[in-house]
Amino acid sequence: MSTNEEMQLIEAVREFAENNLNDPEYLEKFSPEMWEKIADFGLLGITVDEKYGGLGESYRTAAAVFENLGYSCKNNGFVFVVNNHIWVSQNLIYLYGSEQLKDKYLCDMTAGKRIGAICITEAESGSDALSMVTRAEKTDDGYILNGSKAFISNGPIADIFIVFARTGEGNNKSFTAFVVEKEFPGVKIGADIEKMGLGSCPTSEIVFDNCMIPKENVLGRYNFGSLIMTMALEWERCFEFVPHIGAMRRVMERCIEHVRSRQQFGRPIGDYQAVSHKIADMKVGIEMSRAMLDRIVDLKDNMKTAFIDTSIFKLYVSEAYIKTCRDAMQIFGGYGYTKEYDIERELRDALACSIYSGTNEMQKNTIYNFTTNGESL
Amino acid sequence: MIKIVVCLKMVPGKLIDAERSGLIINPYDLFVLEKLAEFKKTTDISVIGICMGGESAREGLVRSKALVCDDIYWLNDIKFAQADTIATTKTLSAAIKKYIPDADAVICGGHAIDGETGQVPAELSEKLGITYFSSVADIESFGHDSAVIVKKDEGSEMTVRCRYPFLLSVDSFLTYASNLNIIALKRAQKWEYKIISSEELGIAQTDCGAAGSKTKVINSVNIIYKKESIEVGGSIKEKADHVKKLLQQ
Amino acid sequence: MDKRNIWVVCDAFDHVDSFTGQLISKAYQLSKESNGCVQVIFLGDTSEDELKRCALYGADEVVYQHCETKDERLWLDILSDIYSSIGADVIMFTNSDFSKTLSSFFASRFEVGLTADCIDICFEDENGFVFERAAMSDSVQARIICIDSQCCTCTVKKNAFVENVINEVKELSIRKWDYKGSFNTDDTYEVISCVKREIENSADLDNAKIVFGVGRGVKDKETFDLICQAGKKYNAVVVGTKCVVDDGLLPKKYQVGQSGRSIAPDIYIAFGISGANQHLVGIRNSRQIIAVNNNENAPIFNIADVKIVADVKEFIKEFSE
Repeated sequence: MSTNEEMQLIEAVREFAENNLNDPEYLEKFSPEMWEKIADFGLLGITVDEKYGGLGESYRTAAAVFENLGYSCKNNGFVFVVNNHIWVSQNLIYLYGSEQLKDKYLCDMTAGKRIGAICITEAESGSDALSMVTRAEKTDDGYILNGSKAFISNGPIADIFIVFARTGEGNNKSFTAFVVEKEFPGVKIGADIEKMGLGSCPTSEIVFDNCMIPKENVLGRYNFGSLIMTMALEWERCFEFVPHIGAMRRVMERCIEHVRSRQQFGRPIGDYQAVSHKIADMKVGIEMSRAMLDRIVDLKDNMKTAFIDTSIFKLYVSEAYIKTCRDAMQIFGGYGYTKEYDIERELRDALACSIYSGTNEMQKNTIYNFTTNGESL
Repeated sequence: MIKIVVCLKMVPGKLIDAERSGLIINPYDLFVLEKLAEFKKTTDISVIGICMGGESAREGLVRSKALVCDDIYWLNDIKFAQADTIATTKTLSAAIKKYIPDADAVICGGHAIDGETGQVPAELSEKLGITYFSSVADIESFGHDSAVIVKKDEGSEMTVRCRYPFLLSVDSFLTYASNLNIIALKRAQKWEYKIISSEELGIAQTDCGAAGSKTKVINSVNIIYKKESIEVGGSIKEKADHVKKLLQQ
Repeated sequence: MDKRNIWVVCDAFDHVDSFTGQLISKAYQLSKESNGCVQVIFLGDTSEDELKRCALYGADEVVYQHCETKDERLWLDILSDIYSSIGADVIMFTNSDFSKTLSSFFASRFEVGLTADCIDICFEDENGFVFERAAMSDSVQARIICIDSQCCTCTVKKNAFVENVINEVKELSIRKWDYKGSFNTDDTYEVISCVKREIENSADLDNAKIVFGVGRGVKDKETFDLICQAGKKYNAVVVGTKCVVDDGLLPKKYQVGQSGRSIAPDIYIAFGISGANQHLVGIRNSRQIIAVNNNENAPIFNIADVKIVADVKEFIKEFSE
């Protein structure tokens, strides 16, 4: 796609987001209408092949589009919903699913008719994901799933769940990834969990009580769920954080406008270095994130692994994003602390990113292990 | 199938948004496109866009194609440039007579936000010899042999059934088209746009562009002119009192 | 040399005296500059007295065609009939929607130059008749002439010209035209329903002697309300720039500027208006302009008679005491 054409696409996405995704009534509440609009707009299948209703774009273009989506759409929670659906649910089926699974689910997902979610975390296994206890027993026609998953983003609104469950016998710690439909018998969706931020992304517990899964719904290979999980984490670490770069830009621009007009002691506060340096930091954060992203999309478009690059990216972007929002609140002073200015919501939304997609502490472990050639997670 | 011709003009984006560079679809034309996009979902219509413009019009044409146009005639030739409304009308009418002589309806935006003369639609209807309806606020339906429109005049609102063929001048505008879909946009980017030169159109040189114009801008004057003004000094209260005195006179 | 025929097309149904008077006054002025003859083409149904009034503003001749229906296509045919017979060098129309359509039909039929929404017309020896209008894209005033055109036509913006009763006593000749064509109108359409809306009363704005203008510098509703209150006290009409109307503070009919309307009050007070070109075009005919703005370099001060540098909110508080 030429630069001109990519610019046109981005322009269309920006315009779409500005006109449809910033409804103040739904800033912290999921709106099914908003979901329908973005589905109709055709964005969901951005990297999926046209034959499944997608756009067939490169990861580079997708990254540019999503950064701008994050910029133009200030509903961070909604962007979170969209990301969860695309990168760690729909696209996993697209990239690693059998033809049968792709035919069964993809078109509905790119059209937004069915919303996706991923289930890894449990009440007792967050960072220690491999100690999960949800179990799937093999039967004649398929599998029986038992267990519960915690803090599932999109849980209350999802139709398709990518569920990771133990399938290894005896001492074998293997697990498998399954595609589970909400309609399968035994799927119970918990109540919405009220969170500090990202209010428009519904989150809940999902319980599987003798849930019956047909044979063909194994994603990837039986007992090789770790491969799928590794890939899922890689996609999540990258694309969940691309819109945050856009969000940082948005917050920084608000700060710039503020420091130019707000005067104290007879001068705009932007004249004071304690203030202006914070904005310089924001800009550095944005540009460094972009440089890292550039490397990652290059690797992904060439079908190479970016496991450690995405870990570094996730770590860096989350820290820069949180710092940007925290500094913004300081810059806006008393006004920043009020609800009316919306800066406090940006901060509340940002604080989650050092936790999801693998905590920042886990990222550091991963990076250390890789750098010292130890066992990477 | 009902054949509808839409006349499109691309105008500077900065008229809508100071940050915007390049050309955008004239907001009055965009309203028409969006309206037709809605109708296309339920009515059997064929939408043909006609646009007089250079290479810079491409982006707007891609959008028009993505939104609703089944076909587009791009009148792109230096000889068409610098046309006043008379020359524009002659060029557009030549194109319509040649390529879509059996059009059921021709719809134009009421005026372009950069020129604002609003003359072309009426002039065009006279050249094509079809009934003209101005100040159209909305279109309610396209029927087999007629359409129903809503016309808002100074003082009244009328619902009118108009038999084909006719020309509408639409007075409603939009700056954003919600029917634009990114998949259609990509497809529109890949489409081959027919560029029509003055030779291909078969129009005489004296009938188009600057040569075919009946008016000419001889110079432009910046409107701001300086006046000698008296500055009122003193406290705010004194200033306010001064003005009150002026009003009393 | 034959006298130049300068036409003013007057519509008896919508005969707003001052508008037509403005056009005839201008035509009279032009006739003096260009050795012209002022002819008022009056279509519709009116009395002899009304026709005679054209002499007040300088008309030499009135050509009157009695007509019961107001229809653009019919009037086009009548006008064409008269034009083909007696000809014209300049034709001035008002800029009502009806006249805009009528003039467009005419210009297209005869392939003559048409300039829309003129704000000035003059006669120059080298260029002939020069028409001025404002072009939005660059906020400039363009000067336009007709080329290769049998006559020059234009629609004129309301209040662009000043209605002036002339000093000399003029001999007015009244000629009744006898159009022999059909008076039947179009049957290609059928009106299904017709709802009369309340006509947006623009009379108050056109006749207002004092007008207050509100711009972006009026940042909050409280200040806006104070200005409106002060307006009531002085019997002033409150208008606004495009951004104020876009923000919903005022309805569109009170937008003044290029794409809004132009006004000509005795006193115009601009509150917090920076003076972007579009707005200036709308107010330039005011007799006295007072501008209040906290930026001493605001462009509005270039056309203000009285310059007041002050914070609008502070000023209005004092002003409304």
